[in-house]
Amino acid sequence: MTSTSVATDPDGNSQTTLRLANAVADVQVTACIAPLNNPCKAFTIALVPVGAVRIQAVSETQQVVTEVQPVAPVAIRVTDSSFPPSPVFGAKVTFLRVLSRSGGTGIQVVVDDVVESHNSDPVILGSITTTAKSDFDGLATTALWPTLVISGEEVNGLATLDSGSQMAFSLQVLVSPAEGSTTHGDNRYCGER
Amino acid sequence: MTGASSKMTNAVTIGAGPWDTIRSLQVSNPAIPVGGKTVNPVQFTVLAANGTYVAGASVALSTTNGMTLDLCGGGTSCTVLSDESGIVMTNVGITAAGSGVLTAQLAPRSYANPSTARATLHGISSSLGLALLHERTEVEQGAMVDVPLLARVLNAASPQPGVVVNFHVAGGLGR
Repeated sequence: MTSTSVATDPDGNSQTTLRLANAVADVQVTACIAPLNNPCKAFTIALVPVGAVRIQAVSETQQVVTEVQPVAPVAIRVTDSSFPPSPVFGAKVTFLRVLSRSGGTGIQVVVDDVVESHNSDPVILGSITTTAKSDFDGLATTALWPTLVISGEEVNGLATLDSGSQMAFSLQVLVSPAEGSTTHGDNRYCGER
Repeated sequence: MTGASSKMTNAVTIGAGPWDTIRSLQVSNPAIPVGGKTVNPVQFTVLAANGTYVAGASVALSTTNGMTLDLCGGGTSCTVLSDESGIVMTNVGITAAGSGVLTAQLAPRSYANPSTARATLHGISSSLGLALLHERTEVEQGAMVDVPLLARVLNAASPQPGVVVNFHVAGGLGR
């Protein structure tokens, strides 16, 4: 622990930090009021087997926006496998994101009244991997992409835990329906940004 | 064929539908010292008639006995949306001794008799008491992690500054 005796602040709070490394059993930490060490209460840090750690979608895992709309960060929750699930603190979440651009409109095939367009394979523009740790509510968040994503581009991502539990997320950016704008064959928005 | 049109009625429902329900998930919480928070977060789930989770449903939360809600930024009431797993989860702060009720109503502005779920919590007060925030924390086995431990010293619900608290590892392999 960073400190074993801590005086309370004006809000009555006394705080220390427990560093946990490779624990194999639940840990209990008692907090007692000095000098008589009475009363006491105990914190419990319960260990969850790696295989029982799960990932839940919380918000913004599937986003479709136009260029003028803001992109919200993705949020996931790390939990155990009980019902109802309890949040897991400090779990490492690896966020892999791939930015790609659709290959544009290819050959058009007309069958009766139906026009089918076949896009060529997407072009990978870049990828990023970052990690985050879940908070007391089990929440971990990440920005979908650190820079502006323009129309015709999309981000596909995967949040992964050490347990192997995964959650996919994505962002698709569409052309803004702004008046006076024009589009080219690659669906890139040519208005002011 | 030209000039044809089609019309779809009630094809899309945003948020809670008329047959959706909200339920309180059974989470155990002992009596909590005034000034403390729930050991386990209170959870509600929004379900469709077929048992699937409903995301993005508006849920009105309110409390009695002055209980505060982390999800409401420390307020006693607010409206939130169920997350993508159909869950509404919050820790609750206890500000007074006695029983308090957290009520969750599903889309009360849309339906006259909204589905409602409740969770009851109990606050206790003593002459010199300790309230632990995040009294129980789950971590992944084998993880290397720093866990903040915060104890609040209270005397009849009033914070007590300048009181020394001793922390001691009583079990496990923390160091």
